Amino acid sequence: MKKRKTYPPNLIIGVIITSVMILMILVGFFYTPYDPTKMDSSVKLAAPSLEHIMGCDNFGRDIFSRVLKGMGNTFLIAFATIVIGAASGVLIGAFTGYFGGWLDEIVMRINDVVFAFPSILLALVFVSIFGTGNKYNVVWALGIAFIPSFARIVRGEFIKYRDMDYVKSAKLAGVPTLRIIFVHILPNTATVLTSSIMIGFNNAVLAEAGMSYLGIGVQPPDASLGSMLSEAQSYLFSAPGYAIFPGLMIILLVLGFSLVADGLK
Amino acid sequence: MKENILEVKDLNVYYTNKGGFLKHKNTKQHVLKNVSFTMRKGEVLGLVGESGCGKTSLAKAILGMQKQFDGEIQLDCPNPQMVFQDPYAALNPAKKIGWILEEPLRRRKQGDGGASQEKARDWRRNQVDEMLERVGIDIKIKEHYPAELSGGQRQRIAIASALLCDTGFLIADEPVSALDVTIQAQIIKLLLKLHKEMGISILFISHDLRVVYQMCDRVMIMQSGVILEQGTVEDIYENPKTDYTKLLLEAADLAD
Repeated sequence: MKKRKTYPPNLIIGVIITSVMILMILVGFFYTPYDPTKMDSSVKLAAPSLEHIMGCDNFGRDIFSRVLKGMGNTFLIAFATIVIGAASGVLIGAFTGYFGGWLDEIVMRINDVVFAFPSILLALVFVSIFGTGNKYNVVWALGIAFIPSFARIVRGEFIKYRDMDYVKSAKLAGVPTLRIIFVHILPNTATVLTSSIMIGFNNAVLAEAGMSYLGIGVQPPDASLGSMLSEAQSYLFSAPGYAIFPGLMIILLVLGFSLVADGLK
Repeated sequence: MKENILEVKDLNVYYTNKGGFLKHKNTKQHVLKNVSFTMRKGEVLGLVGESGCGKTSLAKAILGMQKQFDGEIQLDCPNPQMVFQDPYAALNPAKKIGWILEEPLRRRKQGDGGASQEKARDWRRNQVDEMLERVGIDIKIKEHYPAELSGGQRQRIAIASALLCDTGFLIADEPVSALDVTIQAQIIKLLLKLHKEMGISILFISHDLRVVYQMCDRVMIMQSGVILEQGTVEDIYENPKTDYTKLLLEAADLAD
């Protein structure tokens, strides 16, 4: 009898939430029930109804359409942030961890300095250097701010593995150093790397939301979950749905990924 | 053809503790003291001594992993290989056995220079299958990860992977100390069989005189970085010249 593999419930729930979220994001790229930037004064701050299932905002824009679009923006920014942060972090961590020595000391001390600031604060600094009002600047700023945590994790793993016997035998067999680093050692860091990417993704979603909330992320009329929350705060009592739905989406996005990360451990 | 595969002359190895920031200790440790010996082609040479006496340092120096030493090491063999003590650390846990065994072959030049990718892959697979048969393991194991193997199986795979490097010289650093006695006997049998079939020279490092007795032609006794005596196994075991050797033999209950 073949043994059936059982999955932890966290993973199952996480995968379900995440897939629904990703489905909504994908739909949002190609189709929204209304134009997310079209204003209509007749439905200003309308309550949720059959025509507008999440209601309308202060300009009469359909919140559901804006949530779909905004999730896409938030997701893309978070995703690009993680790609930049993880790729650079892995490269830096792999080389410093494998070779050690003075290069390691210098890079890691710089890393410590960067690490000492909260990443969102750091991203704010970078955005103000690069200039506000462009969402690609936000991506670069967040990406750079996320490098140190990845570099640190990967470096630790490489230090753990670089003196293992199988690395020594690979060296004796004449395997080139770059191949040892990326083909022999890197796959062994996959477990640790996956969960830190998942956690990092959550932080990036929250960081993007936070930055848009502060008005330096995605600029109106383009939507992101954070900027919608920011706009909604003046209408908390007249149109509670305006704040609730984008907030709920942030929670679900982060919760889904957290559960997946937890389940994969 | 030269008689000797390995000549070591007046080898001295020091480990220096460089210290570092806020650590100003600059201690120097003399781990190998004037070590000299030769090893003939096709010989199994035993190296016996207690833990920390410099056995592994000697192996590292011979293999070029220890770059700083005084003295001369002449190794007449292109790809020296090593089998390590801990079979659980010797195989990459992220890769399947088949991949691990093919890896050294990817570095080797094949006989027919302009072989196609497919031909090269087939050649590698054949070599791996042949070697697996040689070390006595079912070829189905190629699809498994190291974590699914027993210690003895892993050590066989480690030996196979070392031999796939097309070497004539193997250092076996306590290859059986981490295994239980029945598996030990199997691995020793396997090493002896490979030694006979392929004519490889083996430097067999061990602290177990019984195992050395089964394996080796000649043996060297080492204590705190000095080779106390060397000679054929029979000579040393029957007429130990130093007290230390006598002690070792008594401890192993092989005195007679």
